[in-house]
Amino acid sequence: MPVQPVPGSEIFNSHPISVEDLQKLIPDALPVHPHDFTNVDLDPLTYEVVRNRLFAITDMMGEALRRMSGSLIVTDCNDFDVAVTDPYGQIVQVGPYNTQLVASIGLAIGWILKNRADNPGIAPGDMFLCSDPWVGGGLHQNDVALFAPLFIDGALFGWTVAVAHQLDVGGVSPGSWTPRAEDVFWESLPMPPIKVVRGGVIQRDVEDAYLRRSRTPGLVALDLRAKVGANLVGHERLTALIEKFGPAVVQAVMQRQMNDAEARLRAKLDMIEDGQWSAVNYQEHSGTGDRGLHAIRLTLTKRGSELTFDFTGTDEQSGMINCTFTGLYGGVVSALMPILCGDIPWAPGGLVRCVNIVSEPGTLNNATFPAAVGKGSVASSWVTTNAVVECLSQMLDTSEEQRHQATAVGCGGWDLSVVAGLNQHGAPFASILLEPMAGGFAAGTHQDGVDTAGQLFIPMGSIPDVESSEFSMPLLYLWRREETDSGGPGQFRGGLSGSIAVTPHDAPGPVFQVISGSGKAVSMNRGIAGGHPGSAQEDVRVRGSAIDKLLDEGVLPDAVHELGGAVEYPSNQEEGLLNPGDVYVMRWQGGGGYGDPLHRAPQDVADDVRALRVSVEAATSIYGVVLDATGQVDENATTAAREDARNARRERTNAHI
Amino acid sequence: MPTSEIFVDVNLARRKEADGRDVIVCRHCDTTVAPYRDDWREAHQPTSITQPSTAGPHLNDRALQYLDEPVVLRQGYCPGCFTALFTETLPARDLDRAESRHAADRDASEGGMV
Repeated sequence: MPVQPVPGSEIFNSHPISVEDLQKLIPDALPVHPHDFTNVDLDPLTYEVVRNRLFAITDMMGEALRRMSGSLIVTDCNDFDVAVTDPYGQIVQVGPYNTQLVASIGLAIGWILKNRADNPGIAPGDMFLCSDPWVGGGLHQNDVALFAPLFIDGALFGWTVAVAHQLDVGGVSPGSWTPRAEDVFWESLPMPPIKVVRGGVIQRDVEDAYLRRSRTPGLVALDLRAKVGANLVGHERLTALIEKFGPAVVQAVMQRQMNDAEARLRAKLDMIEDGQWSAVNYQEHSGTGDRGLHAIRLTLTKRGSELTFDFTGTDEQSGMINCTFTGLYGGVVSALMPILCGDIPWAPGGLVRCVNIVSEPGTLNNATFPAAVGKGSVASSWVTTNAVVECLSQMLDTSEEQRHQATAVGCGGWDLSVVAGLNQHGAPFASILLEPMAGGFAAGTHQDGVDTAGQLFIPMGSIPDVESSEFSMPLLYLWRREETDSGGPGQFRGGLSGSIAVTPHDAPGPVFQVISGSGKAVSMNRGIAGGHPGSAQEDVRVRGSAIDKLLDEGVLPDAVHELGGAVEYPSNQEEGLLNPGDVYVMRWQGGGGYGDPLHRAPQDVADDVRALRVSVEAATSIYGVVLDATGQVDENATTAAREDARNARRERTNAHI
Repeated sequence: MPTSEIFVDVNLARRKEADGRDVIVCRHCDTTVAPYRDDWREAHQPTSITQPSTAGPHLNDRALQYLDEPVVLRQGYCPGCFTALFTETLPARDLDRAESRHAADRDASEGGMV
């Protein structure tokens, strides 16, 4: 059934708006602190002290949120983030956690200022909750943001924000991932900004309306308080900073931090030749029953110090893999920071002034209401990031001074597996298998990708201990390990991915499972400059395995073929049951490689073989490196093998399949 | 005698030749790879088109298990030293676009336009 437009829903579409335009829309009833302090005389020492204090405040906010939360995805996986903005939502500092979650919060604050300042009003002690991806503040409905305005001397001085992935916020399927969703009404209904904290008090009626939709209301309620706590820590520390240095100085530092970030990015871009680069990144299956491929296309144009990201030609919105414009925006900004700004403050409020975005509404990464967007975070927003990384890296690679920052594409998507039901303690649970957070990092122009390092845009990502996962879910881990040969081959090798195998254990009944991933047939983790993609994603389900018998015999299997039973390869979007005796194996994506594998230093290949990163077979067939019986490089045989490999390429060009 | 040269990547450089031609050359063997343009990969030759698993154990040939269309591995090489310039998997239908572009280039070349 085609998605039917809902007249009037356009009011919830956030788009970038200038401070000047925003100022005209804010009623006089909301006094705003002056933000133009270009004449404040900031000495370098004060600037550095206050600037670093702002970063420390986001760090403390994050720590507060993580310590108060009770869900693994926050406490052990760090799928949350925090930020500090100026009065108009220009982001001064993002926390080092999942930067995609906060990259578009400025759009949401602009929306709140436009639509909430007169009714119900924005006052000291208020906090606004939002799970509406069209408004912003998160990438899909599970990313619930809490916005807290900070008032100094009765005027709006800035905002702190805390966003975290919530394990379940309602919708047809547990975990709020619904592969069969035909539109957003099958999913958790988006909640536009709503005043959940008024004058410092959580509003019981509003909280009930929020929690009533969840299958895990206790955890979601705890996370709400964790976000309230994070914002309170932020306000307390900001207030102390302002008391010490004065509001004019702190606001001047905030503005200068953004101005500096912009100026330094422009200076960097000015050093690079103008040009145009393109990338296409595919997703498989947009929902249950679909067997198609869905492309996000990007052309990056650099002129002077301006970057234009043009997504024209991207496929139409489809199924539940879409993201909204704010997801696209978050996908761009969260790639921009690690790729271009490793040596520049992560102050998106300044960085985005160098960025223009062109996109067609109704497409995969600019979905219109009421398209399903429940998977927007790890689908089209993530794929947007993949395409941006590939284009930016091609751009950087043209500059001798800047090319050290270029990388291939790392783990190109999240191998999503939601499990839910009753756990071994008899309590309802819904969680995600969190290991794909340890994706293979991409190779760079001068170094290998780090193995199972994490995700590019989640600097502080981590995975839970196996024991934590087994405690909270009725699952037994048979293995969790890095996978040989999973890093994209190249002159510099992509980082390895890993795999897990789990089986229901002490489960009162079957475990409900959603499998929703991509990159099984067409690589999302693309290599560049001749480097290969990293390993394909793979989900394997073994029905009726012999696992109980094997364990009784003291045998711990470490390969699918040892498990017995019937092997199934699940599709990219499906829901089902994991029964006692079944085994589920997940192998997520490795990092893409950089450069031709035949140019890799033979000794590096030998080291990889010794460390089980590369198999002996792959050393020869991919890298053209021959090792002797002691694992040392056979120089003559290697030279000959590489010549043979080049000849084989020559012959292959005349014999296309 | 080239007039100027800038990087494309570790394998390639963009060069303005003295006769005004804007070309991509191999940095390993100095062979002219292609006339320069932003989307030079689209119609690049020589390339090989093979099953994805020929790349190695990190890729598989199970595309038709998931999709209703085949997926191939495309690898483009320097025509001189056969360094791999790009390596990608893509739906086979995308090859038609590359082939169209290549044919257009060939026609234009025969007409002296490239």
